[in-house]
Amino acid sequence: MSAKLIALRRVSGDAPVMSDEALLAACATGDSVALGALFDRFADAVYRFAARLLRNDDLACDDLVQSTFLEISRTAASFRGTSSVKTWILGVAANIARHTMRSEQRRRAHQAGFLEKQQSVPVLVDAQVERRQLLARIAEAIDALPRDQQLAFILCDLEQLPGAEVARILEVPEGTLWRRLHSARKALRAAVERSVS
Amino acid sequence: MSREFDDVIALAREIPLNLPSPSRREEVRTAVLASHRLVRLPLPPTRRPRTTLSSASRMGVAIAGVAMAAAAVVLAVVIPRDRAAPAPHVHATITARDGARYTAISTAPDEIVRLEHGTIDVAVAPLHPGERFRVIVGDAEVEVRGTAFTVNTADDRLVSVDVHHGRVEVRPRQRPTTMLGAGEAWRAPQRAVARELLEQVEFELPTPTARPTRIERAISSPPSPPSAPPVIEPPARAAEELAYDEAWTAMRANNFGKAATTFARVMLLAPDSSLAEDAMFWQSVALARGGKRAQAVTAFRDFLDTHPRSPHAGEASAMLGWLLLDSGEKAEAARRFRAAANDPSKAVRDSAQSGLDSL
Repeated sequence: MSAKLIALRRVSGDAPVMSDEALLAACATGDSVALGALFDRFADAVYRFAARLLRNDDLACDDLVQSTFLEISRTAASFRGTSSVKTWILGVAANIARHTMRSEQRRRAHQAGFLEKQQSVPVLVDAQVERRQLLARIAEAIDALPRDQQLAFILCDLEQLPGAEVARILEVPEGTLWRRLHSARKALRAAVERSVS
Repeated sequence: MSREFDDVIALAREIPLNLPSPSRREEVRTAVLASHRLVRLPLPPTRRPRTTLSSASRMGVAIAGVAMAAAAVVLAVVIPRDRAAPAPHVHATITARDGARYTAISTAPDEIVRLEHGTIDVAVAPLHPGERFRVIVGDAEVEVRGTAFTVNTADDRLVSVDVHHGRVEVRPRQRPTTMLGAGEAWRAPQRAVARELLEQVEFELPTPTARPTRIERAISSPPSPPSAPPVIEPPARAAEELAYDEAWTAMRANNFGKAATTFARVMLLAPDSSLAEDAMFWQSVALARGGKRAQAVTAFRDFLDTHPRSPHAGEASAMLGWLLLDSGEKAEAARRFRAAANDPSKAVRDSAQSGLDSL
């Protein structure tokens, strides 16, 4: 979509039926109603992304979501229509996570995970428990990935965003993104295999 | 996607996620809209500033040009936009009692009024489907659907709600939600009220009736005859100056959240004053000290974009540089440190140099 197609108009009470692009354009003019409508439309996606990235740390997730929508209100005018609005918004969240979220949450989560691991029951007696533990191992493995690999895996494989768009919003060559994705997948597979064996 | 990894990806999608409750999500939404409103306040002079109603003192200024004789202050909540834009859709008529401090954050379909202190009477026209009207206080939220009611707060805490007609939902944080009908009232627990009233003494701002503003005095006083001796009065302290002091009190008490909010209020009260420039800088500092690093980065960037020649610019650049360095944004950190490297203050220069050395 070309930027020329985006009308610079206010949201006048019918925000729910406006296109994502039009809402973003209205947001670029400083329209807080449009920002509210964008929040209503995409907050769930950003929360899901945040929860995956930050291991369900509620406060950190709230911070990331809030920072993301504030950044959107600042930078909405820079949207050029080269990706979907959802990809662009998750890209904003990813870039904030990459650049400004401190690694403290991750360290805390690692420590908590480590403690959990030490205290967990070593013998699996039930298929459901076994599956829960397998999922926990994968979550830990995702958490242990380098941030760039985490982002690639979450955005491409879990959120199922197009790789070319993800590469563009993360400002990396496509080849680099695929390499990161491959490394992430291999690490996760190894974690699953270790868990099963 | 390579099939080799399909099972791993499918398992990863099954990992349970803690998604927020509707109320937590709503809190974040409100915070976003409130911050958005505050961040946009210092508009460039070529743009028409939004007139919001943030305090009794400011209201006094607005009223001075309209009707000084009015006994009660009745003002529709209007946020004008660019000239070409249609008038925003609003439902509320707000009557502020003495000393009330409030801000209209957004217009329809989700009108939000942020009440920090004092009492307002609100009359809300019937809302259309999908429209909302809310009054947000620090520790509660009051939502209505076509009604008239009174909200009383003290220092950002809800004290009471009285419903004259219609229905109102009161949602105090960490207390049960209450639905009120016509003639019903909600009161905060007595101990909290007593504490708030006590605190109110400390935070009460002078009101237009207690101490008229300069404009009110100019309009209401007859012109002095040429021979009359000049009347010398001590200058009244403006609301923004009092808020600035209040913000500093909070800052000194290490209450950085309140300091940041109160510095933001200074920007609301006097967006074009030099005090607003200082307030914007110190709000950024308060955010950084309060651990709101992402917001502090945004606030410092906004400050430097808005006031590149401020005496605080070097200090802000150096502080922003350190925040960016911590978060791994080395290129911008270096640029910010270099911008601070020639600051007149040796402490700032040293800090910037130390930052550059760390890179």
